[in-house]
Amino acid sequence: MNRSFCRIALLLCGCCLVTGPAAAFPPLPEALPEIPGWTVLREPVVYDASTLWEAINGAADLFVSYGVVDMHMGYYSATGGPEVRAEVYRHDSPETGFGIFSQERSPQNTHVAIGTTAVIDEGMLNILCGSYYVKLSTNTPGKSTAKELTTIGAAIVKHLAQSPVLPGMLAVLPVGGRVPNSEKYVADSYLGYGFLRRVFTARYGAPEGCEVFLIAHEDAGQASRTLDAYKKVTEPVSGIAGSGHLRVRDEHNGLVDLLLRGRMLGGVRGCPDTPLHSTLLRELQDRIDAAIR
Amino acid sequence: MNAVDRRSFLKTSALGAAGALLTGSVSAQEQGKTPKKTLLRRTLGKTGLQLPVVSMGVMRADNPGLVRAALAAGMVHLDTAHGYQEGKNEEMLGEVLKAYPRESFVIASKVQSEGGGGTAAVQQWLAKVDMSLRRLQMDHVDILYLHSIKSRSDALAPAMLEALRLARESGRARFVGLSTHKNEPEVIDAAIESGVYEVVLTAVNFKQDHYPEVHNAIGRAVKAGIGIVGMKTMAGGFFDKAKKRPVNCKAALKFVLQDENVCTTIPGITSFDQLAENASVNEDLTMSEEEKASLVSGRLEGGLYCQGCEHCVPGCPKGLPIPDMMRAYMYTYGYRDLALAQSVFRTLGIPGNPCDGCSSCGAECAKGFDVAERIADVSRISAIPAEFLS
Repeated sequence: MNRSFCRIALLLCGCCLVTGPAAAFPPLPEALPEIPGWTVLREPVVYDASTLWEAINGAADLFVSYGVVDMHMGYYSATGGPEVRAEVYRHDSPETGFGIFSQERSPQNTHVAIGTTAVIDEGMLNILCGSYYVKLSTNTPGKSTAKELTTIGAAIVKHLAQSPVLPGMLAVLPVGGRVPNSEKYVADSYLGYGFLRRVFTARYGAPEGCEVFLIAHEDAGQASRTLDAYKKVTEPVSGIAGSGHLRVRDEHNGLVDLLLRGRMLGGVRGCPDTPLHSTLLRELQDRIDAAIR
Repeated sequence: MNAVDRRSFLKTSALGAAGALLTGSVSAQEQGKTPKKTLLRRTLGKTGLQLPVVSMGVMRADNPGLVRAALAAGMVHLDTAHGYQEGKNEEMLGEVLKAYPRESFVIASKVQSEGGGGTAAVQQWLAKVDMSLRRLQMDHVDILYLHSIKSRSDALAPAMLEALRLARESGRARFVGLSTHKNEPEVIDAAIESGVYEVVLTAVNFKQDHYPEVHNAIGRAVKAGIGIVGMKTMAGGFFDKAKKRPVNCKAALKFVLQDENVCTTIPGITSFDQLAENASVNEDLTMSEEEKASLVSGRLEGGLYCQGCEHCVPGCPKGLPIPDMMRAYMYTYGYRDLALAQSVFRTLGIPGNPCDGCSSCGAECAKGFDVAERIADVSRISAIPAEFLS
């Protein structure tokens, strides 16, 4: 009876079934939890993708490009403590949640063990929590706020009850020499090309050093078409026939080494002809092969 | 644009890198050639700045190569903000622009007030300006906006007017302005009234219901010597949430620029193809019949999304919270999130179809939605047990 009723209900509403479940979200207006010792100063406000600009202005465009569904915003205060602004962004997948988190953190930030991962800096704490991106900030001057921010952050993370797992593609990127907090997910237009989408990247050696990137496609044909599109806007430098290895000269991004392995297209850029470059290329190939085996 | 077109654009635009403003720029020096194409430029009010009609909104770009290509294409006016990417947007720009002569580009940034008044508010705002300058590795910006002003009172807040004066007098900014994307006509008139603002960055696009009011306010501002920069020109880039119906971006840009009072626009650019497309508008503002038609037809189709204008509310004899119910409709059909839609209905405390008993509907939607039909449709969600939707 339950299944039938549910189907009928869905038909009544005329909804298309989505591919993959949307992340559950606490009902309004309880997305921001009660926290012992803290008061929610004002009624939390909910913004969706079409109204997010009212809260964060032009920065909303980036969030929309990373699949933001909605954002709950409120303010916490405690006697003698700072006023803390809490923004809870729900994104449409753990990848896009990680993507926006990665766009806003910096390798200079300090990692803290909250949620899936988090970074803290003066007056701010940014947390990735499954598909959610939580931003806590305070402008209250003269106070050391790290403890307060982490207290609130931990409470929100507990309330959201998400699985603390990073996107699996990050595990395919080389490990040795990776700059902490440098991993990114770029939703579209990686390197400035609209066809390079859903790209995982990380830096190696130094924050502005070698960059490794990786795109997982649906199938090998799609990966090959992406490579063909990139080849059209670059000039070939060298390649080993049948090896899946190609070096191109990109007039805007320099020399780029590409690896096509099945449905995976990866590459290394930013440090051509250095020992680190060669090491990364080898390790990337090994890890891709292990992943698709 | 295909790859060959794009590539030839990039090469041609590199040749045409040196605009009038780019005297002695890196691009011009590197190329050492005469520009082949004439970029359309307009004067930004009393600032006297001559800017190309299409500039670069940098807010979503994290690729230094894209900024360099924009400069090479003559898009010498770059727009960023203190808050974009937690400051990393300004940092990226600073790294790129340190290789260029300072006079070869025009940089604009925006800093939002934290509210409050008095000396503390002034100092807090200026501290954020200083942080932006450090990130940009510059001692001044060309245009400094008070960010996201939504009302006359915010535009005329004494502390912020004082902060803007200090920013200009101390050399942190050559010119000061405000940005607005809500109640634009009211805010623009306040900018005129203040006598302080030299530039207004305003939302303006073909989809605005109040476009005539925005257009008229822009005219008044220009008469008062204020320079106008247009933003949100693409109106979100799509006509629908599912992003199946893209806005014709060239047409949208040209529409805004038909008003010669708009000096320049700052569309966000994230790819070389977008850059090439937008740059082509810098050479020709003529709108084809096809471009005009694309904007009209797209706008008439309306879509799923209630704008929350409350035009409908007075017409409902039951005083229903129609915008909230339209939000639930959007959650249901746009986001396919039935639980969220139901939670909206529960919060509103509306059981069943609240329109039952009405023989006709007086709630008229400014976007042309059939309000009664949508309420009847989506209200059925309140009858579904919550456990089936979780």
